[in-house]
Amino acid sequence: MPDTCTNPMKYSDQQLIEAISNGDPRQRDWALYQFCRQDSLRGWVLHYVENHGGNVEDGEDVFQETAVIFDRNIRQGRFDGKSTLRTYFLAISKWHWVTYRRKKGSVSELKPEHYDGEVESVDAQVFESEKREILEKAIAELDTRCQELLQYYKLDYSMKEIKELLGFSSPEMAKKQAYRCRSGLRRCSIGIPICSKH
Amino acid sequence: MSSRPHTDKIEAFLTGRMPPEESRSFEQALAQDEDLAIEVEMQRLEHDAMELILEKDLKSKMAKWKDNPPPNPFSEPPAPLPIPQPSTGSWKRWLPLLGAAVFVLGGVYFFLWSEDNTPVSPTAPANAPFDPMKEQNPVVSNEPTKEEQPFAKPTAPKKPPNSKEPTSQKESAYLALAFNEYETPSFDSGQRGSDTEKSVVEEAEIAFNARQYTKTIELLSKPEAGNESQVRYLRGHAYFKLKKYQKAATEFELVAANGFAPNNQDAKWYLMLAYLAQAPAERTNFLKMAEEIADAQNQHARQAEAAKLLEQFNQLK
Repeated sequence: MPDTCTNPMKYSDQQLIEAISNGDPRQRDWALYQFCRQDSLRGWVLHYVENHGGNVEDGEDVFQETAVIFDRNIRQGRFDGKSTLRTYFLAISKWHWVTYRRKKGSVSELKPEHYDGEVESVDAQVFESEKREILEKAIAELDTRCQELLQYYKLDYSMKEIKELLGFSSPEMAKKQAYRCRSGLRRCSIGIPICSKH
Repeated sequence: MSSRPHTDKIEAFLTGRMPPEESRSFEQALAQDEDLAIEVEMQRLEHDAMELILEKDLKSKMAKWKDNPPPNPFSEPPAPLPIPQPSTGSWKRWLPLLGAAVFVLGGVYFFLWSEDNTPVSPTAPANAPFDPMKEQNPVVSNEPTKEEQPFAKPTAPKKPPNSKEPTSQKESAYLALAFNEYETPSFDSGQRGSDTEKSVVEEAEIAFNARQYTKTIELLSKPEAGNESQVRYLRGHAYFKLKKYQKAATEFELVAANGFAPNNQDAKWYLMLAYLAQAPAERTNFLKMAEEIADAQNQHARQAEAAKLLEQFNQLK
């Protein structure tokens, strides 16, 4: 991936996908930054949201949430390559704006042309929202080191790499700690008091 | 891990790494085994939570990117320094540059050796000035514990085939400059109290003084480690010694942001050095912090040193 700081985007979709999904957070950050900093991309999302009943603040929220979903889908291999990354990003933002409005209670204003895909049911959204709240509380119970470890784990780092990054004495120790952190997370998620203590 | 007999299998199932055939039979097993189904849901919950951690982290990074873009991991090394040509007849004007290059390379070489290979001399001052002679006689007695050795030459986690090692001349020069300014603090907890009375932080300080930086970090990760700014300050130094400058900067940043922290001023100074060690990627942050410290209005104890360092930095440009 060559160095380029020009705008618009000069990296190929393949280069971006590789950088986002190869597990190196530095490359992921750089690729997402390069992709998301395109003025035309942000401008399109803001314009779309404003033209569909939102304001600039909503547009910024949708843009950020879209970036998060975009990153997750690329990492998890959900992007099927049938469109460009740009089209994919914009489709996510349109879909997200629909769900965002639902959450804000503007359901009646929705028209079929406002979205391309299937929209979650209200029940499912409420469930997701409650689950998210519970998980956020559980995460907050963990110490920052555990949170960092679980980030690396989720990014598919090997135990050897985690050991080196976090200064464990061996990959086995890193594995043990990862298990403890995950167990803590589980206990906190199901409401066990003092859950993060190992 | 014995309490979760199917962990690896479930992990493969949830992350899509299970072969399709096995995945189908696993789904059938799930339909019949309620305990297994619950375990899968619990592990799915863990994954959702981990995904949420990544999401929060990304959002917080994105908020900072506007003013502080992430470092480019693909940066090309800068053009090599010009080599003086004797035939021009004006070779003397290159002497200062040559001297600086020798100094810098000496610093880097010494730096690579000094972290784990130089002995702890009971007579040498903790903050001995840079001595280029040491590079000729790297002493290997009193070697660090085996635990420290994997970090002697840390490896980046994953790199693409076309990635470059961060060893360009300019990066080395910044690194050497940071190293020359870095003074290893000496913590005095080793001298007070008996073994049974020592707190986790005191144990960590002892480990740090003994150059057991990995152990220092491990000790400080214990929940009962204590005062956050104290823990972060010490951990920042341990990361710095392990050449993990980005992590060191993160630790120092938090102490530097806390105006009530006892080590606040020192944290700013070391944060600046951690940025310098990552230059040119962190050049902007380095300059911002150095200028803040060098500003007489801020009455920083190291104001003059920061001003001098800025001069040296500008000369390297």
